[in-house]
Amino acid sequence: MRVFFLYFLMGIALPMRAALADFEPEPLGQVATIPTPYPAGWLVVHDLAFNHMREGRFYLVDPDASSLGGQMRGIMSGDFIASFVTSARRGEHYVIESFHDRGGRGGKRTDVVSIYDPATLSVVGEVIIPAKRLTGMPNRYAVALLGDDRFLGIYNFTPAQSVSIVDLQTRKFVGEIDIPGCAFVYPTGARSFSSLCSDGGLLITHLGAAGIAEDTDRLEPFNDVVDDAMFEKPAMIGGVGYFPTFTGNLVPVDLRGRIAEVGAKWSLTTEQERAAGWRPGGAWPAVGGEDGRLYVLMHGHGAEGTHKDGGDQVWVFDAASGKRQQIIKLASWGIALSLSAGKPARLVVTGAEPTVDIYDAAGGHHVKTLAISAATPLLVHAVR
Amino acid sequence: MNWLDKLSERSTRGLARGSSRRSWLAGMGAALVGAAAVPVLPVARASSGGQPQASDIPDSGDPLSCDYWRHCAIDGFLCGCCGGTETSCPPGTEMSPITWIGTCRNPVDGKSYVISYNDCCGKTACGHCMCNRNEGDRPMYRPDKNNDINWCLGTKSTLYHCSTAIIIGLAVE
Amino acid sequence: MLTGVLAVGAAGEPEVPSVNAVRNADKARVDYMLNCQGCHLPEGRGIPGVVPVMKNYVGNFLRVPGGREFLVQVPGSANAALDDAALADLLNWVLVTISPEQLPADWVPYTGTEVAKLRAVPLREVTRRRAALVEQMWR
Repeated sequence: MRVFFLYFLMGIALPMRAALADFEPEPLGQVATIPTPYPAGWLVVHDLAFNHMREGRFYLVDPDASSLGGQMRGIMSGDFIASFVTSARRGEHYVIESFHDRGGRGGKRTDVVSIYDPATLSVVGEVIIPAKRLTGMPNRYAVALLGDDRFLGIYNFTPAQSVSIVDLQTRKFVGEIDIPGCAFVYPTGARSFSSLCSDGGLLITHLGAAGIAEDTDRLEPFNDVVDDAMFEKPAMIGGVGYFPTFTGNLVPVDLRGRIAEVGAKWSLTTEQERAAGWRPGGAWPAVGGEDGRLYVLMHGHGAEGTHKDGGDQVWVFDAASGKRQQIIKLASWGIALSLSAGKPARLVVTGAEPTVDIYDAAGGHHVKTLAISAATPLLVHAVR
Repeated sequence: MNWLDKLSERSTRGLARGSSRRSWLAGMGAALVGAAAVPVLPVARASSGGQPQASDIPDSGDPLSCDYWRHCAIDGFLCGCCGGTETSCPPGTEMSPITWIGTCRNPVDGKSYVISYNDCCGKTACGHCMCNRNEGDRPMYRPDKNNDINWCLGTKSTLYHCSTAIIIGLAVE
Repeated sequence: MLTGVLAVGAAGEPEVPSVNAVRNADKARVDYMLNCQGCHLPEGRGIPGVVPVMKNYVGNFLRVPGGREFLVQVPGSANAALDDAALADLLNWVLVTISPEQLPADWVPYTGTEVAKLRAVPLREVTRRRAALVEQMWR
């Protein structure tokens, strides 16, 4: 009996030992990386997490993957309603953010340009800038790449208005340029930037080779800031800014040359549509593709005060001619637009729930709702 | 169709009150706390001026609702839901002296009042009663009429906690 | 209409001009709230180093060449959503109400016509211009 039992045990033990010997443990310490360059349709979803705005983040997303595991490719932090720009030329991502050294108690604030390696999503460098950057609801042009991505311009508001310039080649803060009465950094020409002014005009600041302001030009007031204000949130198509206005017009501003040129204002609506209350709106009301299509988020209850409401339709125009080509009826209420850089072009709509919804930009049909969840995903950035 | 109200509702459920916008029930805040360094109703100058005393202003509506008349251009968390009130900051925060100032129409007397939307600063975001209405709001290149800017400026900390809505005068045509 | 006139001191002290410089003080007071107070604070108290102080100070600009123009051309004034007459009245109200003792005895109130002319020429360099004017005040 004992012998039998012994043989029985050996019968189990021998195969197990053999199996253990064959088994290859998985390696510890692996860290995923991301193939670069990213596929053209990838997105960076900014969750500014309004209720927890010190803990905002940027989700790198492959929207074509079928589930969360495939969609979520990696995360960058973005503290205190950060800004994000990416430079294909420099092969870097930039998160411009603010840290408080006592966290939720405040303390000393430090503003930083955090430089990320797109393959590893690791911080590879940083530039400390004056702790003056504008904080508030996000704008794509609160920060901008200038001069063929040599410089970064950061709009400051203390409430004095200025722009901090960072040299991305040397990774050094260059200096601060006063822009009194004006706001934002719309890249202009070879090495200049435009700012919208409270008088309804435009200030153009020209940078020298080292990033110091050399000269300025000013355009006479063209923006009816009281009764038909231009949104400070343009669609940018081929270097031309398409600025919708509060009552439903569109002001194109050609930013390709050294001196910006304001084009003729045209109406997004017919007289009847205007009278019925159709107006653009949202946290980001307009985006445009390299194919010249302009997408504008529209709502039908337009009145004083509805300009941030978003909309349930996206009207598509040929930007150059102003002709409306299509009306996309959204599957749910939208509050902001973004556009991927992939093919086929995808219109990205931040929904009110909130959700991030992907639409086919050509046909207008709803493709999917992203599986990622975000508290305040107002701006989505194309990365390529 | 106020999406910021909805975003807030998801995180603070259970306080909704029937209304076309989301509104919030909470206990009324503590008594007004005056602070010398922050704007208060201006003392009436000698002679006319026609500026009202706060206690004389007729009122209606729930001050903890986004629909409340003073909130016609507020953007942020209502301080009344954060330990403060319409006119006072929650304990341990600092009222920003720098702000933007707009007007709202009082439905009771039909008059437009000047509202100072001072932010309370220096603590982590309150996270309750998020409201955003935009009557008279203009883009950020008109900062004096913009409610999207974090107005915690000139304070020890720019950390945004909540927003007040202080009546500082009667609008004059 | 504000009717108070600040007392004239002993002989040798400058006489402060009457506030008849302001046509509609009620409107000016509210215009100050809506266009200036957000940053410059009640009574132009400002925050040194953050927002220019006007209280007991801004009248000094009328004592130096170029200062009079500066007060109209600075973007906060020039770009305010006020017509020329209203801006003139507001500037006069500010000067007389919060900085009367700094005004020169013979100061001339702004008019809408003057304001219109000055507003047409925007100021590009504000920080340096202000610093230069302030430096002159101390001479």
